[in-house]
Amino acid sequence: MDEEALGARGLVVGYRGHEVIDGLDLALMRGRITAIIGANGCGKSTLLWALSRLLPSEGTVVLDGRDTATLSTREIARRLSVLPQGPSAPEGLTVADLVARGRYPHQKWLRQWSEADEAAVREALERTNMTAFAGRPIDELSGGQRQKAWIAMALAQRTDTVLLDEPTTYLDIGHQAEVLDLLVELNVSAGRTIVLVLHDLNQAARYADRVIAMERGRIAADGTPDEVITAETLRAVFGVEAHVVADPHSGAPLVIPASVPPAVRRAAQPTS
Amino acid sequence: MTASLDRGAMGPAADPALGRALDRALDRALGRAVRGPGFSARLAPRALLVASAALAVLLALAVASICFGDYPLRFDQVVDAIFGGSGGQSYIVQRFRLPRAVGGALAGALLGLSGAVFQTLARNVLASPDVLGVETGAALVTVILMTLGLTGTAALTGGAFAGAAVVTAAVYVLAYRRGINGMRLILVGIGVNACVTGGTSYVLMLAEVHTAERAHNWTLGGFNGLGWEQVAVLAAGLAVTLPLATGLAARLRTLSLGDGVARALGLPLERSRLLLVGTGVLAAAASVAVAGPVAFIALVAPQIARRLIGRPDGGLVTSAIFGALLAVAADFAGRQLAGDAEIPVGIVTALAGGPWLVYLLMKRGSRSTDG
Repeated sequence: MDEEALGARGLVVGYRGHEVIDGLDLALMRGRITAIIGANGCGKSTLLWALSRLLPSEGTVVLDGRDTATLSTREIARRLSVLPQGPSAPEGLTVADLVARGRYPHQKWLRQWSEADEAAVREALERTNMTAFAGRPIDELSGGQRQKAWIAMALAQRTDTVLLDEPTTYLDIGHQAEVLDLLVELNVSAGRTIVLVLHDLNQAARYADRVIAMERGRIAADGTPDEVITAETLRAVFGVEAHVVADPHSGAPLVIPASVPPAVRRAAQPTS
Repeated sequence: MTASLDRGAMGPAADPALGRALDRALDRALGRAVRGPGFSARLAPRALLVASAALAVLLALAVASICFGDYPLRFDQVVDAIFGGSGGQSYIVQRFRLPRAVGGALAGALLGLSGAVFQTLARNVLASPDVLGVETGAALVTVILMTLGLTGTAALTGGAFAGAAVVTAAVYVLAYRRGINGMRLILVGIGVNACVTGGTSYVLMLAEVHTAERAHNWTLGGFNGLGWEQVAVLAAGLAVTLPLATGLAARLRTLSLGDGVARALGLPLERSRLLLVGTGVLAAAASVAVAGPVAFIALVAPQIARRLIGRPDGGLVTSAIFGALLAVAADFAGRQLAGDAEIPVGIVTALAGGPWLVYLLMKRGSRSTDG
């Protein structure tokens, strides 16, 4: 009963002779959390942007069973929301005002603020626990609250599929966990399909149903965290030596880079 | 497996106190919902209050500026003249003072509107048409036309628009480097503005003395001698640009979240930006073609509106009202302060607005490079 929410057939992104992604096929299933990982410059953000039709590309992107080339940008925005990395709001913009702007694809010239708009904004604020901050300017919030406000804006779009580009980068560890827990909650209780680019392999292992490792614009490994986060894949994709052990808390694979601690190194240093 | 997204907007566990706090926050941040069949909008009481108060002050200032002058008139005489009185006093009002006040207000409104569009679009309070050279671009072409003897209204208005559009395009292209950075746009604009101003001076120098003097007086920016024909041009400019800008307001708000987010929300980016810049250029050009380049109104009016409304953008109509208010006030001050001589409105706004620009630049400069 798995159904494709978002997919790509023969996706090509980039200039001629300079393809960042050259002929990629992918099917992302409805109701799943998929994490895309890979070294810097491997094309993981490019893939996310091409899937959301924000980057011009060749080949086909399929959204809810329809070729996105046949959908208007507005129709796409009603089915799929995407949060770019490190968005910034105009100075002094309040959280409620930002979240309300997520309703843009649903609004018409004479229908600027329907009851559905208002309900969606309330729901988005509640799901992200941002209700108490609704009247606060975004620039006065902490990094984690700010990110949640932007996620609330994307939620107010009320799309089945939500794409996020490195939603935890630049956040401290507490806020990282809060943002990821929020995404899991959305997935579990509201059935949203979530695709996110992540830098942190352990986060990908713990929070995603499926991990896609990219290398030079290609899918190097694809499967469950247990299948993808292995010492062999890490060596091939990131060029690092690492131990992978089972996380004692969740049982998910946990990556421990095999670098030598300074104390051990100093002890090994020949004394002159 | 289709997910149910329309599950109740709120869980039953929602705290009623928090719900009321949210109601208040939404009302404050977004305004109250106004809905009818097939129609819905938000109305912010505070924005309405600010706009009505500004309109009242504008009206009072306009009446005062009609009363005071070489021949002082009483309030009732002015009212009588406006509503069709005859005689010498009415002639002064109908022929000179009323078109000057109305024209000044319209010229200021166009500048305030243009400033609001540009500043919101670039997300920078300094990115206004007077700083970016839009007004001086319109002035350069107008001066060239004047020295060539082309003084028809259509020629001047068209020329002003062409000049403003070319300078805007030049600033945009020169500042473009894989996107537009607010501060780079402003620095390029300041440079282009200086070049264009130099070009205008050069044209004035080459022109025959009599023409040059007239054109030079025009470049100072002034409402002296505005007649009903000029008022009609300004009114037409506002009648086109204000509904256009208001209709594009939702796009403008979306664009101000940054290109990536705006596109993610389904906004046709380049088309929207072009329409908005075109509207801003048209508004500024209509004002400059008639009243000359009056600096700083476009820069300051939207900031006053924003500060009083308490929202970072929107307020297009309110910005226009404050532009009108500033223009009429500066014109009034220019006539009253210097005794017999009259200071053109452009000089008053430059003297008053210059320090404001310096303050803004210093405030910005001390902060990070955030555009």
